[in-house]
Amino acid sequence: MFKFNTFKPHKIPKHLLMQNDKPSRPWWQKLMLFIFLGLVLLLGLAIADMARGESVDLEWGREYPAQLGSGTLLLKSSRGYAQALHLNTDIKVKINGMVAEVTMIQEFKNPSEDYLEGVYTFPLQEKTAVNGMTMIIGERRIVGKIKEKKEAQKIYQAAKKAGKRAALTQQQRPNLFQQKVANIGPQQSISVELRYIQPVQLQLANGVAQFSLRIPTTITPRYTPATFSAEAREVNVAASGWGQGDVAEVQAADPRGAPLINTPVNNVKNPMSLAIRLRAGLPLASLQAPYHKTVIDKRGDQHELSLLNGVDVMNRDFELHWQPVAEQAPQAAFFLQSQQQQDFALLMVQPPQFEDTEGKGLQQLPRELIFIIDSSGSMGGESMRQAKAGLLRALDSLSANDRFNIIEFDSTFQQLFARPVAASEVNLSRAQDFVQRLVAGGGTQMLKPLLAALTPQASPGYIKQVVFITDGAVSNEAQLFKAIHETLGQARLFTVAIGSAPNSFFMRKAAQYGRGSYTSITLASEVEEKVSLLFQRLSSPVLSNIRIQWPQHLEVEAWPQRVPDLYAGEPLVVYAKLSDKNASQNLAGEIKLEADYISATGERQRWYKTVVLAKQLRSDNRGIASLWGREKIADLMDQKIRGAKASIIREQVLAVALQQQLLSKYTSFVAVEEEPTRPQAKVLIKQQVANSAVKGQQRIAYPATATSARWNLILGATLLLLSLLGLFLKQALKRRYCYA
Amino acid sequence: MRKLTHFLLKRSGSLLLLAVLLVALSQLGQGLWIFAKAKLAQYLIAESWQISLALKQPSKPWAWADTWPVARLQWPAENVDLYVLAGAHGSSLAFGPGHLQQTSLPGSEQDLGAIISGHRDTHFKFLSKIKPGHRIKIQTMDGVWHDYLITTSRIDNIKQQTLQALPGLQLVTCYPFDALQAGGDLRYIVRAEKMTKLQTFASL
Repeated sequence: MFKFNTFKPHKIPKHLLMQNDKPSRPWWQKLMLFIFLGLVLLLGLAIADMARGESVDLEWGREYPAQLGSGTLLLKSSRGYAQALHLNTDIKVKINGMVAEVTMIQEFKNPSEDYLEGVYTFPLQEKTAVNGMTMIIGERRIVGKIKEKKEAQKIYQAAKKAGKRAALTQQQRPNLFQQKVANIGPQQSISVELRYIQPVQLQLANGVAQFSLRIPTTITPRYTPATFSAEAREVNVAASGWGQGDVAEVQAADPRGAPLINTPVNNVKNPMSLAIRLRAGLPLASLQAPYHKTVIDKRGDQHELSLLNGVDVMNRDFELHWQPVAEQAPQAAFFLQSQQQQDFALLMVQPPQFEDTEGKGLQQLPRELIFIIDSSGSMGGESMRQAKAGLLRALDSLSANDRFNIIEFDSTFQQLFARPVAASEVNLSRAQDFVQRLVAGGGTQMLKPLLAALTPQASPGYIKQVVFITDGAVSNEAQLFKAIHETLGQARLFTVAIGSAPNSFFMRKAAQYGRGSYTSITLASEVEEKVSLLFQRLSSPVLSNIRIQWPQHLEVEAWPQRVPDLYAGEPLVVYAKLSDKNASQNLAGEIKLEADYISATGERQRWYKTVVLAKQLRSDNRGIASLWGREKIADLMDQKIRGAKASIIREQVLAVALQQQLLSKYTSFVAVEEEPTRPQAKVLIKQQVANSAVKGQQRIAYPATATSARWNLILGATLLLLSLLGLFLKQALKRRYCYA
Repeated sequence: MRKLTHFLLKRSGSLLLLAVLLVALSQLGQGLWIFAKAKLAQYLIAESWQISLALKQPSKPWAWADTWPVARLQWPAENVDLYVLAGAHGSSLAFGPGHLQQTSLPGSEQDLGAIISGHRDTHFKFLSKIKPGHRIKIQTMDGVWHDYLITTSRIDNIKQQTLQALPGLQLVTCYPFDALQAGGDLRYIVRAEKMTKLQTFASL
């Protein structure tokens, strides 16, 4: 009999089954379906979310238009965006002996359809004497006149308002200048030619004379301490009885503590062309420009040098070094310039060379060395690496008798040890750890760490030497000089400038007030050489109390008035205005020099040298009168910082500057075209020309601010969809096979 | 061996499906994990912020953390409430917006400009909605709340522009907000300036 309960469907071949069976899906398939639906929902949400994201309204308050990638810098003005002024700089240098005559042409090109006023802040070496400015419009040359600063500003403002083309050159700091050019017409250009004299630097390194000329091209943005204005006023009132002092400097700073100078921009590449003609006057052993690629030609007794590709980016200082062959190294020099019945002279004398091999002749007194290292934001990048390498190298050079300490500062400062400690192995390794861990960041508050280093008395029997490693990116220089001058005592301050564009005015002057010396490190590869040079200076006898006796029959006005102490390898350089008391134009005679030093055995010794002037001296050297004027101004400004009455100094500086036609804190050059060019109906737009960012300086890196979450979700959801689709397809195929 | 090959050949379809499925699940897991971390970590950080406020010194949210909260950021209008962490490296941004340590902290005595960055798809998503005139609040470790007024925004191309600390506060995130993949060249930067007490008072 047919038994229903024995009916077993699975025993019957599937294709013979008549009834439509509904096999229940396995549990995992159900789960899959569930996940799948969930994911489709999620994907939908993500897409909806993206659609929402797109509706961001970006029309408001944009600082840059969305034309990214075009490479032109656009600046915002009250009338919208204007294409930025282009700036080309062409520098021609003629070097004769120890004087460089420079002609620098700054060309401001206006690519826009507006009338523009260009403002450009640029650096020059701090001893530069700017003695001429000419505005060039096409073929026409309008010679600038030297005027009192306020008067020059008035003339310029009036011309600017009247629509006349005008140029104004002002000094902001001894090594920082500002060029303003008004009414540059649409698609037009105006050039400004600056003429200046720059002294060539000379130093002996390991017994070899090295001449050098440094041309700065851009600026490390400087830090203005927020508390600066109040402090500066206090200092001035206390010291001079007058509240004026550096008020002008205070006003120049942005009240919000922002950098004084417009911050350099990454993509600005102000091109610079450079040509140098060098007449060293001595046979040369070497000539090189370590920070640039150059082409050098020798023609007769002169060398001609230009940049390899004609132009380069203005993002680092240019430097030229040359060394005479050893036997021709100069022991003294006397260059003369006759100008309007007056003679101006540059006198250079090499100090004695003390034995420096095997420590013979070197100072044996134990030292207390305080290192101050700048870890502020401007040091970030290459500078911080060099500063650390320099300091580590210096720690290696300490001898077991020395004591030392390290002070690190940015907005605040910290000392490694509570007081200087012996340079024992344990202490040195702690110091090395401390240095390794330094990170650049924050502001540059120099005053407190300087005072912390200078104020405490040295341990008895020790000589205190402070080594200050920084880029000098500050704008309260005068306040710092004053502090150094007032707290120095028996200590000596040595500055080490770091980076591609340090504030060398600050570094050099700080060393001068600190009665120490100045070294610079620009490349990592120089660290070794420069630090050993510094240590040579730290341990060699110092020439102090230097006196110069000029020939009896001459009337002499020599600057600087007090010759600073000279360290090993530093020559004496003095500028003098000479006139014969008998009006006989005869300068022949002897210049006698005397100085004191402490010998290796601790005895006070005297050093003598006589420079004999020949009867017939060439008097056609150029630029020495200007350098004399510049040195006199620098010396007068120093007197002001030491507390001389500001109004008297101002009068004296004005007299020299106007007579010698020199740019100074109180005098400016101004040139104005007679005819107006800008119609009164057109507006004038002011633009600041940006400086290139300093090479090697670390910028704040843009953080990576996106996750892969969205991508993960979408990829995951898509793949899941795909796999489930495959699964269903497979099932469907199977079923079709079943029914077939 | 032959059996195995046979099995693989016969089942190749299923195996492929399985592989795709696994990749899909891992991707989904990663994506969800990022959101979960971003959300959950903030609860842990909230606790350590309270400790920081009480002790006036940094406190780590968990023992092995390489970051700690340095500020609390709020946009009251949209109920945004975030704890800002020290450092803008990947391992801090995963848990909260990060303060760029080269810049000063918001509300510090010398305003050298603070920069805070956050992921565009998690914590700083709200930047797409913020407009000039909106107000945000920042609490520093001394417990003081500082009011900031949104002023401008801009888009930087990291290959062409330089990030600079500017007076006030800058909030940085990636742009465009709806881009799928990470690692683009554009950044969206919102600037805010600190309101003086008087301004805050006047606006109340």
